[in-house]
Amino acid sequence: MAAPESGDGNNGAARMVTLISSDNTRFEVEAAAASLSQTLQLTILDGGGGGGDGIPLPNVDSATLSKVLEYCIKHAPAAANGGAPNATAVDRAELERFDNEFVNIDQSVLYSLIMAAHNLEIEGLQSLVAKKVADMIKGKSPMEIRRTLGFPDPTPEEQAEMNAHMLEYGWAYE
Amino acid sequence: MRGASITRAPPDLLDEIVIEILVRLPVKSLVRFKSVSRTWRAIISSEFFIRAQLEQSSASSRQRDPSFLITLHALPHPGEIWPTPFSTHFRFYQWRPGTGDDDITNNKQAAAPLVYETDMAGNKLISRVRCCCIAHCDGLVLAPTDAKLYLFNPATRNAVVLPNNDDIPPATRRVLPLRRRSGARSQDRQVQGGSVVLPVAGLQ
Repeated sequence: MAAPESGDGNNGAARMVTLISSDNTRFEVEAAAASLSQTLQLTILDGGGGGGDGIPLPNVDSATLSKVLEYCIKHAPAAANGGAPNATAVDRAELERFDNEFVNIDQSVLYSLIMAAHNLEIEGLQSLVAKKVADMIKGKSPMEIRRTLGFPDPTPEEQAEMNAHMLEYGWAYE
Repeated sequence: MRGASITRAPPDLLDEIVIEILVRLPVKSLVRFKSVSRTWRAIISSEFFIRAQLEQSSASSRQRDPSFLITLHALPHPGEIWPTPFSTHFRFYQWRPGTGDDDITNNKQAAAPLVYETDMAGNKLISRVRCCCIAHCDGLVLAPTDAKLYLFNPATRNAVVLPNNDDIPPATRRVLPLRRRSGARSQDRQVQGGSVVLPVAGLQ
């Protein structure tokens, strides 16, 4: 395994890699940011993604990928510090503000994001989006959840089970 | 969730994502969501999931959303110590530090809303039966008396009387040191008026 090229010769010039979305858009991004993805990390450590090659991501479209990379670029410096023992409270507050704003988006984008975060194994993004979705659905009724997920209408038998559950656990429906 | 990408996802990945979302929900939502589908019920009822949810909620509760479980216990005399006379009527309140004042002024809500109350036997103060000490761990509360052992899960509103072993004389029964194992002992405190305040991890 090739060692990561430290500094690329010139002091301060960060190594860049190219990612290619499913719709063939090329994104050039710092290796450190792309390495937040566990899936990409090994390829990048092996020297992949540089030059004209690019790493194809057949499961992620360009709109989603640009959003994902926005997250990675913002979080890369803190991740590079290994949880950032020297991060100030201001830095942490700024990241938190960024995260809150970042997931304040349309549902459909959230779902593309969570799929991409899973595909690319970006842990922080996975939990950020999962938390947001949990907050969005925690007050919903079982029927609302079924409709949102596109489940078919319950069979009479299922409906009877749902009614019985509601009777037994009325307090959870208040 | 109508997005095309979610229907295209392989089922394994979908399950994984569903679990990752569900694990971040409060117990009340989870009880309700058991009725979404049989798959969801199976996930939410599984041992694996219950552990994961507990871990998740204890972690987030430690980080930013600590809450306390309060149970009232009337002490007839000031300065009275355990063991004390025991009422079978249990009430559990949940208190989140910092939220109380706002709730009272703006929303007319109780600072510590009632989570669960139950009467194990006719709401009588049984003066001869004494409660030894209340122990808790991971949101479970154990109230041992010299007659019976009561175990509560206020979040799921479950209460059981543990099987009594009459072969063991009351004087030699011991409560397992749950508090020490939960590592939360230093947070225990008794507040004025005889309420017992217990830190609660996850309410699961």
